[in-house]
Amino acid sequence: MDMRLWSLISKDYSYAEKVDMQGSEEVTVEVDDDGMNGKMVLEGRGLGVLYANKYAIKDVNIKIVRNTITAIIGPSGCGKSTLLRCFNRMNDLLDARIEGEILFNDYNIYSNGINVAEVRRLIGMVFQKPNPFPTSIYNNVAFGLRINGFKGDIDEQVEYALREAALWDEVKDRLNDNAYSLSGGQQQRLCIARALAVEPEVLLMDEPTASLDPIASARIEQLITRLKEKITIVIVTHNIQQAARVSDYVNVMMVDENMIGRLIESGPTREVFESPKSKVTEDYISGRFG
Amino acid sequence: MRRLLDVGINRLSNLLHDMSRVSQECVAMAIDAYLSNRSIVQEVYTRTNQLAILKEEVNDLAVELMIRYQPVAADLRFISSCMEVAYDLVRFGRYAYDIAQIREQFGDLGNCDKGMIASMAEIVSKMLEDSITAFNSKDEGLAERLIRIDDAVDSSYRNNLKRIVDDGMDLRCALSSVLVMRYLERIADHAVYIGELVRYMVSGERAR
Repeated sequence: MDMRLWSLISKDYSYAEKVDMQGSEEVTVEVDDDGMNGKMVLEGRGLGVLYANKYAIKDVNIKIVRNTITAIIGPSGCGKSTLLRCFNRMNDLLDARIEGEILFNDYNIYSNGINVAEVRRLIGMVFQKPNPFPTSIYNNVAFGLRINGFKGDIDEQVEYALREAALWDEVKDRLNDNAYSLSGGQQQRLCIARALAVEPEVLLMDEPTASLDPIASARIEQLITRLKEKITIVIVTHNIQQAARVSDYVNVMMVDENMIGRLIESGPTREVFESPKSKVTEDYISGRFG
Repeated sequence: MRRLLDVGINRLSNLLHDMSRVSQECVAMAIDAYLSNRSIVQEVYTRTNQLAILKEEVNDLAVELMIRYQPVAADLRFISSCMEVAYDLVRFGRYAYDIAQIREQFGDLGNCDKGMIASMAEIVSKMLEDSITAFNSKDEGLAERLIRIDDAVDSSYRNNLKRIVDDGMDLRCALSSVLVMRYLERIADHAVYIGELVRYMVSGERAR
């Protein structure tokens, strides 16, 4: 067992209200020592999600290591997106009932009194279909900053986010153009810039390249790989080869005989793709079913 | 469900079968010719060329399968192992050719005592056969046994060397025997490499 001191919030946010914490900011806790202490940013413990009293996923235990890319793969309907949405409480919007807990920097985001908007700022999300707001490129990126009461220079922060999303050079002379004038790939990078502008710690990506052509997809993959130096990325993808290309860790989900999503295998990408432990994983990634 | 990849893997297996047959022929012919003091170098040479061509085919097909289907897990382990096994099979042929050349280099060796070589060749030929069987049937147990037998081959090689030095054997006989034993010992090593690849294919465990 390892005793360590941790902070409920790992960054000093000058421009936004901190997560509504119960008790003091620094707490001493005991955590299991499995060699990942201090490396984990997110952890799901005994996680279950029910829609209308029916389990979509159950008994999921998952660890997300800081500054890595974690892929979640599995056939359609196995609960990948449901699991992803748990990480920033997006399931709250779908009337889902959650069991278990999600620890973000060791703090349960499903605790009472949590500022959910702040959770979603710290754990951003990008969806399958690019969904820019019907306004200018600039406003799309500045939007999150304004609603979060950002106190710094918004112009600078917009440029920073667009650069991080590898979009700045393409849009710097047309920041006032409507976001819909961009190509699909550019729109997706704009959505990534919008998420990055508020400096999240984690970015959740739900099939971010599913609607893009191979070149636009490759740019997003390149971008993701670079972004992990600063943030942690969790990506849901149907594209097994994409998971193999970009991820450091892979989690494989499958439905059981009751059509409930289960996490059946987790591990470093090389291990899962070279020597999977589960026969079901082997069959799935080898294209024998799914 | 039969996948497109399975068609390619099947073809790869067939190529490895062909290579196995030719490499076994090479070694058997070379040993037999050496023990019976016959020249066989041209026949072995022809087969080593066949092996080189087949190895290129294996590598081309393996690369094509990787490009087209991005295999993973057991498929990936099998395809990458095929490339390595193809190399080992070529080495079998090459050492057989080296053995066949001894007769050309040293001339008539009819008066040399070949008892040591005969018993070592018997073990090594069986190892070669077992390595190919283990690969074709993915028999991890047989593969493990190869590793143990190789220790006996290495030990036999060292003992025979000592005996040759101690017995004060005729120089031509001594030199030719040492060379043949060395080639046989290397064939045994490559049989073990194939055994280690079988273990990798089956369990994903790499030899250290």
